Amino acid sequence: MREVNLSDPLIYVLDMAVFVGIFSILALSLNLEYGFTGLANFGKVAFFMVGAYTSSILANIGFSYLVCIAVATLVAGFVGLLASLPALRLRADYLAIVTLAFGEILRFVFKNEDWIAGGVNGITVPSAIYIAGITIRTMMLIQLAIVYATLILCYFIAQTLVNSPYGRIIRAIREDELATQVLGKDVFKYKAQMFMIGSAMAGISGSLFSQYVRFIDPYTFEPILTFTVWMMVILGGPANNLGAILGAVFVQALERGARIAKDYLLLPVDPHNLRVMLIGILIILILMYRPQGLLKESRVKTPALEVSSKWRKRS
Amino acid sequence: MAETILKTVNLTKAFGGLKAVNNVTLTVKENTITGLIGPNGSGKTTLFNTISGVYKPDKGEIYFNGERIDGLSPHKIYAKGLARTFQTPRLFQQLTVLDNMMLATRNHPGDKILNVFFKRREWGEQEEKLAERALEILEIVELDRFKDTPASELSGGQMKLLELARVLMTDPKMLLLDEPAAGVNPTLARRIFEKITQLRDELSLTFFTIEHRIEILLEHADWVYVMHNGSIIAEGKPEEVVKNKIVVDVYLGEA
Repeated sequence: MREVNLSDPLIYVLDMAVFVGIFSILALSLNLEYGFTGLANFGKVAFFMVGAYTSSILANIGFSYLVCIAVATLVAGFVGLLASLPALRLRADYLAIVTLAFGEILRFVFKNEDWIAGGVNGITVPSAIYIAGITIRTMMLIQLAIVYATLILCYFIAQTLVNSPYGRIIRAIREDELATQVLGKDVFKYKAQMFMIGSAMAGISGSLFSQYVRFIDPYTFEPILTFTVWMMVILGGPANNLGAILGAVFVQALERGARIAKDYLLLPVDPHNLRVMLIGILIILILMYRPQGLLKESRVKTPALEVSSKWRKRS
Repeated sequence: MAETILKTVNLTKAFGGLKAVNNVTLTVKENTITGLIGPNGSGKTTLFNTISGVYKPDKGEIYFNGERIDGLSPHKIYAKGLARTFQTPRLFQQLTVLDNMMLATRNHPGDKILNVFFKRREWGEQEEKLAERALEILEIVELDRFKDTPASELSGGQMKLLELARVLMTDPKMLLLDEPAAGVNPTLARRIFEKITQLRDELSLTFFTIEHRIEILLEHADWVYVMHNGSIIAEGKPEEVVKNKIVVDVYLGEA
């Protein structure tokens, strides 16, 4: 991670805000796949990684930030579609294993194939928004604006999708795949589309991430990152987009909070270890006492709901 | 005189050496409730599965509305207006009763991902129409007050009614019901059949239904077929069938 200037506490806050935004997009993407469609994607990090590497390589060639983001999104979405074609034919538990392995395999490719992006040495990313004389604080504010504009766009896309007849079908697939099929829906097509959209969103997030931290290597993308995103979704509430973002805020607050605590406070335990324990306890408590997460599943909001609310039982 | 809506001719379906459906020839008249009774394992559900296209018949023909349908896929038979329900309802548990109903529609513009974003008005209008229709059907089966309840919170009998209502969303002409009143108490079973009778009269639907309770069929069915070891052994008005000597021997037992 980049070094931050300890003399400016605001930097910590901005840094945390940027990470919250980046991970909110990831959490939204997993929520679409798992929360709504029931696809257990344990390879989330793979598509985040594809987005990050694509963006970094393009930035090094000299493409503009916008092109980097756009192409990273498309490439991640395409890789998602390719991966989904064989994987989605499997039963849910096998899907989890296959996607997990896919992420690791991809990471090893980036690690061992030096010519792609420096292998274990990683790749530095030239800043797209650096101008001579700009302060770190201003740069971070610009990053923040870009990240949150993207988050709002992703949230809008996710909300539009789930509050539509389409969103009703993907929830039905999660509930009972066979029954959905019997009602004449092409289940495989819906699953593949959701996997692709989820992967593309992870790609956007990866692109923003690489441009923010300005250096990536294969160790950035270990499987634990996938599980961090899962924690966000489970904590916040599967099948609730606001919940996913809330989960991202929560987990990132603990993560970044531990960093700040380490720099500023003298504690008898390492705050990083404390954080891991806290998250573990939190997950157990949530699963025991509030398995639906902080926010419960949102309803399908379409014009049908208005018709329904006006319905009076005629006597 | 009522027209024939469904006809099977010498229908046979075997599994290995066992002829589950053996040379069955029967007709169902339009706008009737036709019952199918018979001991367990006599081939009733296999007959339904063969008619609805889940199984391909080994021999024989099936005509629906004068059109030959044997060998067609279930999806196509469904599209022709011959729908069916299952012995155990398959509902979407976490979704509301209304959402369960709304899922049973075909060719909804909002089912396509691009339309969701770019043809919002078109699918919005369709949603309103469908919701209206769903609520009307729910009202008939008296489930409209549960419209916002998740399906998992309904009772067993209500789930049966919801499945029946859901299949009506596709505007079928005829319904194959596999024990619509199985596992529900006698009062509710009677109510389900009262609803079926009401649907026959109000929506001019035709029902072909498997049912074990002969007293219900006596009250509601227009015609009854009795199946035994894969064959039709008797048919007639329900009050005649119960007096039939063979039927009493193989199925009903001495009273």
